[in-house]
Parts: sequence; structure tokens; C-alpha cells
Amino acid sequence: MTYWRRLITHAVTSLFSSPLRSALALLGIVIGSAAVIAMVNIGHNAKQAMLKQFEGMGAQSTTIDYQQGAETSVAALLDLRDHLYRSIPGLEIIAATTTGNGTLRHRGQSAFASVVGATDELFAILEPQLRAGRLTADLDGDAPHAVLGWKLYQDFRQQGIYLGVGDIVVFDDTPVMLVGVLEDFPHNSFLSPTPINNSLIAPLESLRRLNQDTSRWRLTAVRAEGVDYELVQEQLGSELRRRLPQTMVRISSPEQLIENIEKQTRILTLTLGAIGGVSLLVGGIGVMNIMLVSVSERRREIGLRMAIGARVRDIKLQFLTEALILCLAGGCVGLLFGIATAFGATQYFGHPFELSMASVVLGVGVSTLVGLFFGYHPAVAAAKLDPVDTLYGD
Amino acid sequence: MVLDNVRKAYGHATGSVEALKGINLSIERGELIAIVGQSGSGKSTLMNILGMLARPTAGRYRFDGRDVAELSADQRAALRNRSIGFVFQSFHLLPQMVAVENVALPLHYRQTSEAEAGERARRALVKVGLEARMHHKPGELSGGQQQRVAIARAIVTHPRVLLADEPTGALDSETGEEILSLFLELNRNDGITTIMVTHNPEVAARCERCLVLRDGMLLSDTRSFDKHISLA
Repeated sequence: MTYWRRLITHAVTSLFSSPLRSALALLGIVIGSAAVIAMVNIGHNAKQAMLKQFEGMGAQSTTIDYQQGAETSVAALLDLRDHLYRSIPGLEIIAATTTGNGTLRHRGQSAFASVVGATDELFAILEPQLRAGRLTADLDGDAPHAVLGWKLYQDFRQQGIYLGVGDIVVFDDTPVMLVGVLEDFPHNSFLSPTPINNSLIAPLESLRRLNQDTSRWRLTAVRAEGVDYELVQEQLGSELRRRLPQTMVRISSPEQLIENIEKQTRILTLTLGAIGGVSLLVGGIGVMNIMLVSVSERRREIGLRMAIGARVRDIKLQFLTEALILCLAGGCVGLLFGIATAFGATQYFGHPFELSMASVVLGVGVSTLVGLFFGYHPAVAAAKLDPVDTLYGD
Repeated sequence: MVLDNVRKAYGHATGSVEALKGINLSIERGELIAIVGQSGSGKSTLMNILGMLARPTAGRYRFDGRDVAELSADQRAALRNRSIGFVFQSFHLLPQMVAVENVALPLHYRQTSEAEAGERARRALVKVGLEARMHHKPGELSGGQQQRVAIARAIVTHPRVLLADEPTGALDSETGEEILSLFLELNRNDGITTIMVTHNPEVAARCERCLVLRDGMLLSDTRSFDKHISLA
């Protein structure tokens, strides 16, 4: 044990005895490991930032979109929905919706708006806040009732018109009575087919009246806790192929998107890490060069150590230890710089900073390996010296 | 230490040069020997062979009855560590370590504990009269003091043989005399076999046995019995 402790002490003493040279060797490793750590952390945080957009975005939902002719009845859609409820386990709620666009008019003012025909379940899934009045319901049947989105309310308010419960507005020549007004609802593309803020939401059955082109249908299903999305998507796929054989159906879940993003950012992070790795490699070559110079300059010391009893192994260990300590120290300093750089980058982009532990392990671990690898050749060269040459030369 | 028709050749681009051409030599425990010769006579090569730093290209070298050629490099290193102390003309102290650390260096390769190594190094420095400068670096010591540190390092392992290559070559005559006295004292009091390479005839005269080398061969091997008797 004392042997190892003395080995380290001797190595540190030797490194400190030529401080400029040691500092130069260190610099290469510092830059290299800082690069690796910064890159990996930046990649990690980019991924986190992207994933954050999906936070709370209906992570348990699966969406089915398809287009069918206007002749398809709402009854057929609801029938399909009920079938899916029965045949596929793990689906808690399924909302059926269809959407269209048009112009909303009232007292001479107008605004572009979407219209969403939806079953009750949509409100259960979205849980929007009401500013006034009530939400539409299946019980409304095909009555031309609708709930007004927040942005539309604001648009009319800016024109001096305060829309409220009981007002009759005209959507594309069809009169609609407002039964409620919603608060601001941030758009969630997985859960709602179109931004709610810009829409009138009406009962599904009434939509024929409001919108000629009811061909875009969507079923939004919320899966039960722990139900795997891939399994559900597979089952939905086979069911829908049977029920709608001629139709293009698109099934998607946010988890799928997240997985794709993770896959892509993984490639990004690996690439960035590799770039940093190249930098570290260059640093390692620098260490090797400097160690070789050191060995060359300390020939007499090496010869002497051999004369007083150092074996080949002892000499190799001595120089390997020096290289290792150099690279470990460089790795740790680089760690600090790398984290600082990554922190700066995330602040610049306005993301919150999260430290990737993998980067720490990677940075320090790879620095160590670099030390061992690039320190080996000089160590072997030192051990091969002939004491006779070194002790009596010059 | 027995050399039996030992030859040593070094290879060069133009052909090999034989530095030692058949040396026959036998050295007993406790002897005080000077090896003299001009430069190129092979005296340094002889020292290297005796110290197991080089291997004969022909002939046999037996140390303590064992044929050195049968030993592996690691075994020779261990033997050097235990039984041989080296002192060089240019001291060869490590500049980044203080005196006591330099002296303790051979003990590092013997896996000696920190405490024991420190104590033994200190005692060796006391023996050469440099205890006061224990924590000085070589750069802070005079030539004579550095050589004393080197001698302390050579004896810290209680070796049986001390090999000194021109130990006073880099010192002025007064300091050289002090160093020489130290060698004589160690040889006399501790019975360490002491072999010195020197070109200085005065140094040679102080040794009881003198080997003269010329062109790689042993020209003469004289013992001055008078000296031997007077030292006793």
C-alpha cells in the first residue's frame, strides 16, 4: 500500500517540478473533456426542452384520424366508437369529433373561426374552464347550441361587442345560440383537433347543420393507467382495417413522438459527444508527446532508478501514474468548464439546466482511459532505456 | 564476485567494439579495490558488469556463487537493490526531492513502510554526517554534500558491495579527500566491499588492491599488503 502511495507522491512531485510542461499537457485534456461534457450536456438539455413541450400533453392518449365522405352518418361514427370501446381493452374514454372552418358573424363584425362537433367526452378529456354559461352536451342533440372559444370572445370584445350566454351568432349563414363562453385554453394538438380558443364547440349531431364538409373525423382515446400505447395502436389498427377497409386511418400517440424525438436527440447527442471525443483524443496525443519529452529529459533519473533496483514494471508504473494523474486532474477541471459552458448555453436559449450524470461519468471516465492509453507508450519507452546509456552519457 | 573470462562487446554501425577482452577476476568480501585506467580502457564497462547493469557477451560472472546470466532482469534489479550500492561521479540525485527522500529511494523499490524508510534514511544521513541538511534539496547543497547524500543512498539498504565510479571526479581536492575518507571508513567499519573506478593515482594508492585496465584487458592486479596490515 505504501508503494502505491509513494508512487502517487513521486508522480505528483515530478509533475509539479516542471509546472509549465504539466500545465500544457493538462490544457489539452481540460479542453477535450470540457468539450465532451459540454456537448453531452447540451444535447441532454435540448432533449429535455423538447420533451417538456409534451408535458401534460395527454400522455395517455391515442388519436385516430380519418377522412370519409359527407354521406357518412354521425351514427356510424358513434357506432364505430362503441365497437372500439367493447373490443379493445384499456380505453377509458373515447371522444368523437369532427371539425370545419368558416366565418363567425354578429352585429356586423366577423371573425374566422373553426367549428368542432364533439361528444361529451371531449370536455371530460380537455377539462376547459368556463367563463360563463355551460358546456354543450350530447343531450343537446342536434340543437344549434355552441360554446365560444376565448380568443373569439376577445376578438369581438375588441370590436366593442360582448358576447354572452343566449346571444345568437351566425356561422356561415347558420344561426347558432351560445350556451357558454370558455376561458383561455392552451392548445394541445393531441387532445383537441384544432385550437379551442379559436373555435365554436357544438354537439356532434348538430354539426351537419353548421358545416357542409364534415369529412374529417377524429376519435380521441384516453388509455387507462399503465396501458402500453404500442399494443393499443396495434389493436386499433387491426380493428379499423376491418371496419373501414377503404379508408386511410392515422393512429398516433404522444409517446411515439417522444420516442422519435428521443431517438433523434440520441443521435444528436452521440454526434456532439463524438466531436468532443475527437478533441479529447487530440488532448491525449498532446499528453503522449509531452510524456515522451519528459522521459527523454529524465533519462538519467530513469537509469538511476534502475540501478538502485527499479524493475521494468516499476518504471512503467511510475510514468503511467504520472499520465493518469495528469489526465484525471484535467478531466476534473474540464468537468467544471464543461458544465459551466453547458449552463451558459442553456441560459442563452432560455432552457432550465439539468446536469446529465452520464456526461460526468463519461467525461471523467474517458479522460482516465485517455491517460492510460496515451501514457502507455511513453511508459514503455522509459522502461526500455538502458541504464548504462543513460548514466554515463553526456 | 568472480569474473571468468568475461568479455563485453558493444555493437556499432561500423561493427562491434569489444570493451572487455577476457577479464579474469575474483573479489572477496570486504576488499577495498581501485580500478584504474585511461578513458576507453573499459573500466566503466567493468563496473557496469560488476554492478549487473550490463551483461557479458561471453564468459561468466558469478555474484555470491550465482551465475548472473541465469537471473532475469527483475531478479537482477532485486539483487542490485539488496546487495549493491552505486555512487556516480555526477551524483545523480533527483532534483525535485529533498535529501532524505533521495536517500530513501532504494527502499521504495523494496516495499519498505513509510516510517521505517524515513528512519533508515535518516540514520544513513547521520552516518555520512548530513543529518542537518536532511530536508534540503540537492540544489541547495554543495558538491561534497550532494555526494554524501548519494553515498547515504547507496548504503541505506545495507549493501554488501559499494560501486563508485569516479566519486571524487567532480569535487575539489579537499572535498574529495573527505569523501574518500568516508569510503575508507565504511569499508573499514562496516566491511562493505568497496570498488572505486578512478583515474587519480592518489586515490588508487589508498586502496589495498589496484586493478589496472588497458584496452579492455587486465594489465595488473596488485595488492599492497603493507597498507592492509597498517589499516588493521
